[in-house]
Amino acid sequence: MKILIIDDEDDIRKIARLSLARVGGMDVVDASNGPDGVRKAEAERPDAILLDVMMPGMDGPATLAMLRAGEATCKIPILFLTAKAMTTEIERLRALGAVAVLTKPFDPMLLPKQVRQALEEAK
Amino acid sequence: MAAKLGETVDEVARLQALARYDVFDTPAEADFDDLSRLAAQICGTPIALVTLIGATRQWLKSKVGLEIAETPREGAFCDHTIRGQGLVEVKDVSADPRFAANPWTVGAPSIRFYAGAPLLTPEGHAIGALCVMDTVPRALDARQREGLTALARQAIQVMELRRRHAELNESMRERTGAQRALVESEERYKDIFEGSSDLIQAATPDGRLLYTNRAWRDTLGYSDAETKTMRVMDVIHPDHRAECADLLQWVIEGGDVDTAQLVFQSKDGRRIVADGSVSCKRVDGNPVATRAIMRDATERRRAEEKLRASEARTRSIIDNMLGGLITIDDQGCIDTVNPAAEHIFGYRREELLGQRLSALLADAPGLDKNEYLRTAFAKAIGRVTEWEGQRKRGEVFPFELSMFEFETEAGRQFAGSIRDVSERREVERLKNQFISTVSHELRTPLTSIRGSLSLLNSGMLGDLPGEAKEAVEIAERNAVRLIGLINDILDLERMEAGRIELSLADAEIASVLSRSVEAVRGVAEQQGVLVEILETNTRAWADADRLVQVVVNLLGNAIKFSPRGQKVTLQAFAVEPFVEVRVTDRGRGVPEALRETVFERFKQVEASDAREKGGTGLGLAICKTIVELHGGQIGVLAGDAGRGSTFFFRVPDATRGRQEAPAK
Repeated sequence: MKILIIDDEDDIRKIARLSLARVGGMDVVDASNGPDGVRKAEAERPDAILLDVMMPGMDGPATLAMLRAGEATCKIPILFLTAKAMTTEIERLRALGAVAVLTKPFDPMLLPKQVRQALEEAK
Repeated sequence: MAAKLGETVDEVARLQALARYDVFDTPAEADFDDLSRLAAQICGTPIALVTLIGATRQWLKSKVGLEIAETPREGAFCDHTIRGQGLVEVKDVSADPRFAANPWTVGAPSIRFYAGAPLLTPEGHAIGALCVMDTVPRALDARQREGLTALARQAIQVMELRRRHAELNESMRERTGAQRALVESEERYKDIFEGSSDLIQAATPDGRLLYTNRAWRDTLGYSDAETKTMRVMDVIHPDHRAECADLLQWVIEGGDVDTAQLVFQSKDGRRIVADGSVSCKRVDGNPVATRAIMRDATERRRAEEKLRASEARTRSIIDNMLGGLITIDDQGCIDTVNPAAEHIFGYRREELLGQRLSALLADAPGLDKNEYLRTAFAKAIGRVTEWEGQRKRGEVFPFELSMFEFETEAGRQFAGSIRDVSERREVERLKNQFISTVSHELRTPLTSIRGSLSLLNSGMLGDLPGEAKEAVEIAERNAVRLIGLINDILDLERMEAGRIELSLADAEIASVLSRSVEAVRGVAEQQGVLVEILETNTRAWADADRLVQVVVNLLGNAIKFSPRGQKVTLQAFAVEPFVEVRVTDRGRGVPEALRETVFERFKQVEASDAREKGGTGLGLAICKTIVELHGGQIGVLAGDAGRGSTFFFRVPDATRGRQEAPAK
């Protein structure tokens, strides 16, 4: 399983990569901003995308819209990763078309499991 | 003959004249006896009499040489004498046909000579005679006649003097009686004046005190004797003498003042304000005394001044208070506006007075604005409600209103305390933004820390030496705790700011309980604590996820504080119209003194609990907030037999939903 991580925070990308690769045994690709993420998604065709919500420039929702607009990327399941844990915020993000909204801080030991579960449920 | 005599008008007047002297039938008196004796000596006769002729009797006031008190008038010698104005002399009565048959001539004392001078009153009435008699015939010489006539005049003089004296006495007596009556009357009035609590004074027009009553003297501190030499102005306060002089002058000139005010100064220097009336007594139109009846108004005035000061203070408070204050009458019209309210709404006072309150509100929802106001106002009485106001320049802003009702002489009125909360709203908005930012900014680094530690601790990145692993474990545990704390703080803040909307629905409590137990299973197993759920079929009108949050919190605590091998019991039952959930443990319990405060933030039974047992100190505060958002209650009871504790909460049962559902 190949996962694309799009997050502007280097540390978060690294932890998520370690978690998904080491704990979850997944292939991990990452991008530090929206436009780069969209390019990598087109190029790498991942099985799922872990997308940060708050990013400078093109933020999570805008990146999601762009991915949905691209022919090659429109079908890729997207999981939002957000530091905002409010119910209303989570509902708003879900309504944009994400298969799941995972909150920070996440438990690296559980993250791969959560990703797999969300993808299962989305099928 | 008597009848004949009595018929003449003169006889009536003569008898009245006789009666006036009050001498008829009175005892003998030396004054008249002296005259008789003198007459006998002058005339050289053995008998001399002072006779008074009544209607039917001749009565002898004085007699010398004869012991007879009276005779019938008819035939009496003197009766003849009083018919004329002059002396009557009969040398031999036996030879005079008028007297020959007289009993005194015929029998004892065998009178032969008679001479009598009439007693003539100043008006000319002859009331009797002074006469001399002898038993032998004889004649008087000229000197003797003159002497007898003079003595008769003297007799009438004596009577006249006595009459005047008696009249004078009578008049004196009358006068004394009148005076006594006057004195009595005066005493009576004086008594009334003395007993009066009013200050009463009388003074001459030129200001000398004539009379003061006791209240006046007691109040001003002067003795009665002192007032005798005092003047009105001596007791008037120096600052008020001019106005007092004007006042007295006014009444002397004919005015009456019923609502006068005099400011006195007592002997010991106190200022005494008195109200009352001032008038002037006149005799034949001339002023003789000024009178003042005053009441000491110092106390009343002081009370009035106090009231005025109190009113001014209240006014000042209302004017200077930062909150707006508006009062409205029972018609809903604005009656009073304080400066703060003017400032809040941007109108001047004059623009608001008499206006309807609706002028200050943003367009109210619904059909009839006044009807809306009425019902909404009823709700605002006694509590704080929030409204949308509209300032004069059109800006809509939120304000808080609390109404109260009060009675005045003008009837029922309402007062509204107004607070512009737009600034507070702005602060709240900024705070939200801040919390949101903090939330993001803290979570991001924490994600890295916690993630790194977890990975290290898991051994995925290679094995750690024993002590290093221990240190990493500590770091991870505390990172998790920090995350929990941040989550709790944010949760609580959001709830208290009212930014959490409960998703109320018909919730099956059995499901809430089993979900909660599922969530704590790991911890319970680790602690060796058994959690049992008693069967229940209750249903609540609640946000099930939030109830799970509450139960998990309570269960977590119960497990943490239960000794290994003990049981935690979870049960629910109906307490209409609520559902009550109980979590009972057999741990150390909550001391009675802490049963209220344990729901406050960061209040734990032992200060060391946060460290030793984990937890943030916010769990119960969050539970309380969630339960209260549902309109319920939360509390803690002592456990069975003094061991352990029972935490309980109540939320509305599902019937609430059936009531509210149609409204939605």
